[in-house]
Amino acid sequence: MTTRRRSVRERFGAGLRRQGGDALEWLAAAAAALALVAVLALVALLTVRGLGHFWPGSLKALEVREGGGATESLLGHVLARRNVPALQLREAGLAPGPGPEQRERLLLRLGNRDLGAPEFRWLLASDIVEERTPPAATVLERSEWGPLFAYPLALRDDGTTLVAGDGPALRTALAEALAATVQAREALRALEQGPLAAASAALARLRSSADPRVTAARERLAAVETERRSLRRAVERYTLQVALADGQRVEQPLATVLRAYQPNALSLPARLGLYFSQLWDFVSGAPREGNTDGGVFPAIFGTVALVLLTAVLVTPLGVLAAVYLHEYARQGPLTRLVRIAVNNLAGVPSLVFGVFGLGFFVYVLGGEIDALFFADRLPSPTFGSPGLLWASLTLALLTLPVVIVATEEGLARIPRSVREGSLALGATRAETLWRVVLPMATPAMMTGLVLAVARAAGEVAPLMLVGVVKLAPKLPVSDEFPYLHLEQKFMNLGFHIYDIGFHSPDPDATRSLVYATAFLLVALILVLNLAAVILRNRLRERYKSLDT
Amino acid sequence: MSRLAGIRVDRRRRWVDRATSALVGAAGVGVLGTILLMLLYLFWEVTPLLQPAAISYSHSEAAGDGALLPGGRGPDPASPALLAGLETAGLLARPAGPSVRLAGGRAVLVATGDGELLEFGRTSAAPDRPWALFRRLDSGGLPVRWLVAEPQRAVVFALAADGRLQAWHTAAERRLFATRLPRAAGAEAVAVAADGTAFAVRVGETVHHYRVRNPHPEVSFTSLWASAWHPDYPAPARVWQSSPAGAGDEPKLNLAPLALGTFKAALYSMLFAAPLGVLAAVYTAYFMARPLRRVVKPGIELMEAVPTVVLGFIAGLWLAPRVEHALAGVLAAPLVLVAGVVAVGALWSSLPGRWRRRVPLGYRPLLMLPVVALLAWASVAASPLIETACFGGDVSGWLEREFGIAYQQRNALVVGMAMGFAVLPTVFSITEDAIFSVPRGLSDGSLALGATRWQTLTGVVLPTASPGIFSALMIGLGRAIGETMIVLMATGNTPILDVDPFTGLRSLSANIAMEAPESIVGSTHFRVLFLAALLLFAFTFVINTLAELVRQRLRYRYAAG
Repeated sequence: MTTRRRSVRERFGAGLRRQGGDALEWLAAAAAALALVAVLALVALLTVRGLGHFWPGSLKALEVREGGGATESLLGHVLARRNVPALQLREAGLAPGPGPEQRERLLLRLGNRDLGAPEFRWLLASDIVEERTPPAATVLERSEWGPLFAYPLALRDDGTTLVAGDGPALRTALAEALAATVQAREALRALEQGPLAAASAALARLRSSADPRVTAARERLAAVETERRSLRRAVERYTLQVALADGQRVEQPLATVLRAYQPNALSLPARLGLYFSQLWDFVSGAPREGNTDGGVFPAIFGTVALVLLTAVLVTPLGVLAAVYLHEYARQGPLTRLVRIAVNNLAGVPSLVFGVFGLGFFVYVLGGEIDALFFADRLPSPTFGSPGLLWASLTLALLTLPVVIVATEEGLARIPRSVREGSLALGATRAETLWRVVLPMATPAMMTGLVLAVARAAGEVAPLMLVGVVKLAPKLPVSDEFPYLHLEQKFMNLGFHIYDIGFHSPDPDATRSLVYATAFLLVALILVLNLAAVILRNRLRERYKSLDT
Repeated sequence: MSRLAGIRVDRRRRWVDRATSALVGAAGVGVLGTILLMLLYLFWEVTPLLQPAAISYSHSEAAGDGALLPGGRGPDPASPALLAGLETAGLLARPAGPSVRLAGGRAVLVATGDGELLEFGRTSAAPDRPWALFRRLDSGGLPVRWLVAEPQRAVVFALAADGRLQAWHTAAERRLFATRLPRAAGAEAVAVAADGTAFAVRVGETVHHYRVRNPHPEVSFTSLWASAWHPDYPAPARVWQSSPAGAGDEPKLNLAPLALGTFKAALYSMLFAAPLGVLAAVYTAYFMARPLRRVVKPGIELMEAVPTVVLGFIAGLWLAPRVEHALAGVLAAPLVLVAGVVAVGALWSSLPGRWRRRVPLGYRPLLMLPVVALLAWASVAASPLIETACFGGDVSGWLEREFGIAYQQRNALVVGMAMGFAVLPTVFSITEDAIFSVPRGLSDGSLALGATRWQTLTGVVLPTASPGIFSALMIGLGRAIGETMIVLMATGNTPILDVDPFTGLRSLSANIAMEAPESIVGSTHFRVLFLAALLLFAFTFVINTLAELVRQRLRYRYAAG
């Protein structure tokens, strides 16, 4: 009896083990699949949201039911649709009325921030009476107050109406007037930054009014001023009369308008053209309105400058240290200690480097440099406050293990026979190193460098301590001596994401901008990493032939 | 060598050779030196916290009419009514000696006849008992004659009639020094400077001045880690509050909530990353078809390069609202996934062989890809149903009722998911390497002896690779502990002391990132932040060294096998 029971249990147990093993194999496969799904979902989310930011969506004209039987007209982009339980709506103080448990809500961007009404609004889909996409609806992108969504009525030139009505004539005239305004605006900016600044600086340099050159300088300044006035008149010449969704008429000066288009009337090629033009503006433009609008060029520039400087600092040290570890040092306790230290350095949290950078580089080294060379500017610090130099030094420390490990790996792949051959032919160790070993290890060094650059481009936490700012008035490179301003603070793509995502006054307005910035950063870093992978594979191929 | 081959190395070439050697050697030593410099510098910034305080005689002068020290603070005893109130409340049994008011009058330190210092403070615990005994400080029987306190900090000087002096920081429960003050016997008046750098006593017609060096009195083991009772708190607590809330408040620099927050975030992220990473690595290394593996492995590893600021922003702005919205579905997802995958697997195995052979073992993840995606989506989509069925239609309300947890949108669960994703490639990659490099002969032998695939895996391959898996988990943990941006962006950054998955947290690293730029150089706050950085450094150092040692043992084991 007992033996029989045991045998049943054993058989059952064996079956269970087999079944269990089978199930666990499936689970392991599913885990691999889940990791892939997560990766793909992340990439898809970033790509769709990031690239979708620039797509000119259609403008919807909505008639919305209000309390008391009245309706309200709205004009805007539908940003999101979401299902919400009716219970939650009731708790929020809305009266969704009887009906299904789940209600659809729409997030509408209404623009027109300067005209009083809220820019973003959630609506219940059931409140919408009518939905249209009127072809005349126009988006006016402005340098202030965000976009204006309206129907153009008439274009005016200094108060006289040029064109009226909402036909194609107005559209052409608007495009021409806008082009002229943009041109005048560019000329005005160039004048203000160039000749005007130079003329007033020249006048300021001539301190005493008795100097005969003062009169000439004054005249020059006056001439520039006149030119500026005429340009400003050209900028402020046109106004566009528009009707808002509720029929209210507004005069919009073209001086602050950057771009005007009718999203509902665009053909596909025109839409694509607009898409790429907006993409280009994003990559090449400066941020506007407290980073909530406009482009990210200064952040890209700051990131690139920082990363290049880091690469310049880290490469020699990292490569030479790897050469020391692999070619020169006798393999013993010291090399083992250095290896352990390098390995550990790779695992130290990046923020610790930031703390070290802030304390040692900024306050200790920077303070000393200020005391020695910039004593006349104290107490306002020059190098004694966070800046580009200290940030790149910090990142150089951070990326040092990456370069060392990659270079050492490359050196290890070079067959011994190559070195021995070189030495046997009478070359010194240095000649073997410079002429034979290092050229062969170049792809490995490049791999390390690219990986270091990718790592540096994605780091944010240490930079928050050693020099990144949300808005830098000037780029760290300029035509003023000494051209590269190492003490200046800078902007950074990663920090830009953190800043506009979490410290923006209007999170709804900046959300898609954050996605676009994040997509840009991730694309940059993934491309760099792919380049490293390809380089490494080419290196492997190269030495496969040498080994045989 | 030159003699051997008859080659004359000319001077220039020899010089280049030597210079290169020197340069390369300098770089090697420089790297080691830099790392040591980092460690030493962090220590150097922290050590002043441990420096003992000291007092020394400065000078004497004839007593004038005014205060002993300009701008200083003399005795400021508690009102007799308050002391009487404490006695009637039964808090103060022994005859009271001198007393001094602290924290803007919200606390009071009383010396008893037998040399104990008792601190009473206002509390919000019970409205009918507004005062409580905060702490007892043992002065070792000092017969206190004078008690004076600094106006800004809770530093108290207790002077006996015979000139013995003790200085205490009350909240830190730290005795700063105990000494016999020269020329101070029979003091008739005492005062302490507002910034705590000078102390003065009047004996007869002479005022004696003393210099006090006491830059960081508020730091002790107690104040950094143990709970302390602060005025207007209902109970003793471990509080991190670096910028004082009100007048008379000192910064409260308790690292316990931050350290716990760090471990909480790391724990939840490892809960996601460890099972997923290890299982996926087991499959990829042991079962997966080679062509597929060549794509999948770099694909997952490439994710290690995704900047954490991007993951943090997705966690905070995209994931957190969605998790809140479909909490029931998210909580049910692991169950749904496991059950669904096992069911689909069983179903597949019962299909006719013709069908089954279409997807060989090594390509199963491709089959699972849509299944997993569908199951995850279904679980989230069914969230309202689950909510109605199991939680009475409202998960956060249910949590509040059953466990008293107030759900926060940016919480440890969200951090765990996002940081789990960040750590996953690390765990995956190292585990995969460890399993893949188990000699093929071992598993082949096991299979030849009749073991099943799974038996071979659990009985032979995994035990051999276990040190590598352990080191993968350690390195993943180290990465999770040091991670800053995800925690900064996906939590509310509230320094609280619990391990609930549905509340926020503040980690050591996020705290440093937020506060270090504004901290005053050389202040206690600044140095405590350095201490936090040093702790992070030390912790990851230990973890990484451990992982490295274990990995070396792994290599030895393979060599032996």
